[in-house]
Amino acid sequence: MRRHRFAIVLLFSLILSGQQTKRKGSTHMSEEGQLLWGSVPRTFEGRRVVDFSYSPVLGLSDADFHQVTARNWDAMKSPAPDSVARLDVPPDLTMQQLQEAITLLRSKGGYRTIEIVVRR
Amino acid sequence: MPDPSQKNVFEGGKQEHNDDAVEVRTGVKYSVISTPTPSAVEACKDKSKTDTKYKDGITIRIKCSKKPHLLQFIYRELIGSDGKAIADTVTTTGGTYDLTTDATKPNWNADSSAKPDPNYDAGFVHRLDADALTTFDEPTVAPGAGQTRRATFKAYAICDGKVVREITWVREQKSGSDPTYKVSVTKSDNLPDWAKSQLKRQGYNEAP
Repeated sequence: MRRHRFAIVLLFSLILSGQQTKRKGSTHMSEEGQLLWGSVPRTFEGRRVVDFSYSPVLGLSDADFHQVTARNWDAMKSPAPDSVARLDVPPDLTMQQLQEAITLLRSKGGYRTIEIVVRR
Repeated sequence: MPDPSQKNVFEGGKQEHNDDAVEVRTGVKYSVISTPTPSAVEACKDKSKTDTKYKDGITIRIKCSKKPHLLQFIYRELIGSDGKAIADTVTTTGGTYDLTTDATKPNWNADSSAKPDPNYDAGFVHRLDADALTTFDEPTVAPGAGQTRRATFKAYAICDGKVVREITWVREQKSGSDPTYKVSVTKSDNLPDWAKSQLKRQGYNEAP
């Protein structure tokens, strides 16, 4: 049976350390960020989108399936303050693993917006 | 002594091509084991086997015992809901490159992480056995609503310093559909001029 496919969009607007939280309606979830959920990947007009995929074993890879390592993070950092990290993840990822991926994109990549798409 | 790459285990999938020089499979599952194991059969049975969660990869197995390598080039396209190619960039660990907007003028990029070594197997996922080199790849092609994303590859199987096959493969996903692969393999005995020029332009060593 063909697996039901879906995509989840998570808009994670990160608040810089020490910055006052700005409440933006019902989408604001916590001081950590803002979550939005949807069925298809979003189009971010005029904003650079950088593709990542995640494996609990291999960690983060770029769109061309090249592992992102400490040595090459510079090339994968957020190219602009409003750039989006699009994270392709397997459907059976745990919340802990998802959090690990998000934390890496935030701390190493400096991404303030992260879109999560569940792998088909 | 086992090669470190013998921690990698590739299983299953559909055989797209098989001849005396290369075998190409798609829909392959990638796992890793804790200790490199020279026997692929034993590696598959290893109890430490851990699923990487990549289950729709492509493997290219070069049947060669003397200096096998894979030299691979990629270009990417993004097609909008109006059928027109969209101009954009792709950011990778090796740098940022432009999407191709005219398929008759592809913007090829060497698929390597080990500059100046241009070979895919110099840095990316592979398994080196006594009789063969197997590479694994699973590029992301998830499209936005109404869009199609496509990654096109030319891969050159090299044995003992000589090109033996040209493998053309495409991974594509249309909005609302699963990703698909297309594979074709032709006999070849040298690297085309565009590929040699591209390697030089990107600062890689000369290939055969």
